Amino acid sequence: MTPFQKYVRGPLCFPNQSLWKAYEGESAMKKLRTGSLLFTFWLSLTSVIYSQESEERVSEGTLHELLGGIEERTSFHGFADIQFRFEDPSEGEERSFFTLGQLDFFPTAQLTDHISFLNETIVRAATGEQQIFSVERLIIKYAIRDSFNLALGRFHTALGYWNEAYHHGAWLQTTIDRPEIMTFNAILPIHSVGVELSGILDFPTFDLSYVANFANGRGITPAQVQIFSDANNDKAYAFKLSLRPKGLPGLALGPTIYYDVIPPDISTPPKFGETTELILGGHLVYLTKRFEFLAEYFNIHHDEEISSKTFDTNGFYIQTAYQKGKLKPYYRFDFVDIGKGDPFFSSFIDIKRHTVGLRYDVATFNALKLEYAWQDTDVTSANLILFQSAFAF
Amino acid sequence: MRCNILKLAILLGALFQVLGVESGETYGVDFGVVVNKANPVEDLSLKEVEKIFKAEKLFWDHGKKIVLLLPEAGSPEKKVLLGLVYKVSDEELKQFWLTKIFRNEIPLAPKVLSSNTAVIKFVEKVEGAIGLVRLNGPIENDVKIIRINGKLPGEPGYEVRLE
Repeated sequence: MTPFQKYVRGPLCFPNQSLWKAYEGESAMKKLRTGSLLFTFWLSLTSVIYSQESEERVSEGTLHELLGGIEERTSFHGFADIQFRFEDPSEGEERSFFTLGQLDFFPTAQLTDHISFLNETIVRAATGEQQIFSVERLIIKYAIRDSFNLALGRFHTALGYWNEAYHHGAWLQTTIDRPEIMTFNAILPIHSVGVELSGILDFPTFDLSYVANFANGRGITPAQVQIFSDANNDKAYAFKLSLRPKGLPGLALGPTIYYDVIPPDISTPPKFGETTELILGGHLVYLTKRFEFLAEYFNIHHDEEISSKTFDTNGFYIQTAYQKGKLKPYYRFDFVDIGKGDPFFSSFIDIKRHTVGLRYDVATFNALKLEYAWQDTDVTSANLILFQSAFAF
Repeated sequence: MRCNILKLAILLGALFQVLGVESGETYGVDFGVVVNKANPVEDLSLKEVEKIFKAEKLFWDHGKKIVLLLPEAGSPEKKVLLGLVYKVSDEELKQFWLTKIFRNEIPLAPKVLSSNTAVIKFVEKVEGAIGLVRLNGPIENDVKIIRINGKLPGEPGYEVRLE
């Protein structure tokens, strides 16, 4: 008898019971048979029980962690980008350079069910190859209900769509640069420090979102954000509506209005007096998984107190893109017409710009963008080739 | 005869083992949207479910904060949500949540729980919580399954299932 016959085939099938009995004895054979049956049923029983309990057991301690740990109530993200730029002006020498975009740190926290915090601090280039930290957003938000939220701090002014949708995150936006009317330089008052009310109203056939600002307003130069004080007692008011029809998901449109009194700049004679600023604008946006269409228009009206002169600056952009897999070709037209002789906008020039580009999402949170742009200004025209790697973390 | 009985027993044991292991796919099975029993909501339209799971609606009508629970990536529950509500891939969904956080629409991404048991126990404890669970049988805990477009799981026309 082989070992297999003796220890496996024999006990299992008992083909040669006499041999098995002779080896182990009858009582052992019965035990083995019973044991095999019991083992098989135990195996099948435990497999059924295991399948019902294979889902995670949740202890009270685990639930506590899920509900309340500080680590569960905070998050930290960031954005950054690196670019290569080639500029070929019609007058002057061509130049090319690598440049760091803004490094954007972005912590958020849920303090309670109704109170949350957001900060956006960036590291950006300043003059003379210096880099500076800048707090771009610092918001504490009290979410009362879907139709009413109250926020305090520094935020992006309620001006149209792009300013509140893309902030400083290059990875979020399709293109490399912001629209010319939306640059941080800033023709528009991109940032405000004050109070923001916002909410979404649910109607049967559409949703209506609103944002209202009450803030310090502009400083004596376009790019100055009055963070710690207000040079005059006049506050800035902004109000934006965005209507989203339920029958056409992805469509949003609405008006914007902004009013402020710009303080005088006694060091600059043309700006000795205050300037009333009234901005009217609108946005039309259609976004689906495949298709992107963005269009915004703004008119900035200035009324000088001392000279009684008025100036109108107009600007708009139209952007369209189509997503095909990881690739997204796009086109944008920018137009800015600065009010002639407006002393507040003396450092700005008219610009028309055509941009065509291709975005490739190489990873979930990394996009490569390649663009060609042709721009025509008061001073010169130029061909531009730009490359960017933008990412989020 | 005794050999055949033993062989049959072993075969049955193996069969139970195979059936006992959770399969990755559960086509044709209903999934239930569960809320805490104290939540007055009984019925939601599919559009409302979509708004809640996309964090476009952050508060219940009775004022409590909605605590959204998501299943983990790759689970049948997640596949149902990706197909029915989000209509994007899992990777695109991560981009979706980061974008909403960046726009200050939500402070944090929703909680992800790795099992039906965890979801049910969480919903049982937190009044505003809502989650999606696979229905293997009656749920004994203190949660309730809400109607979707007036239908309960198992009724004709119930839409929350993995097709």
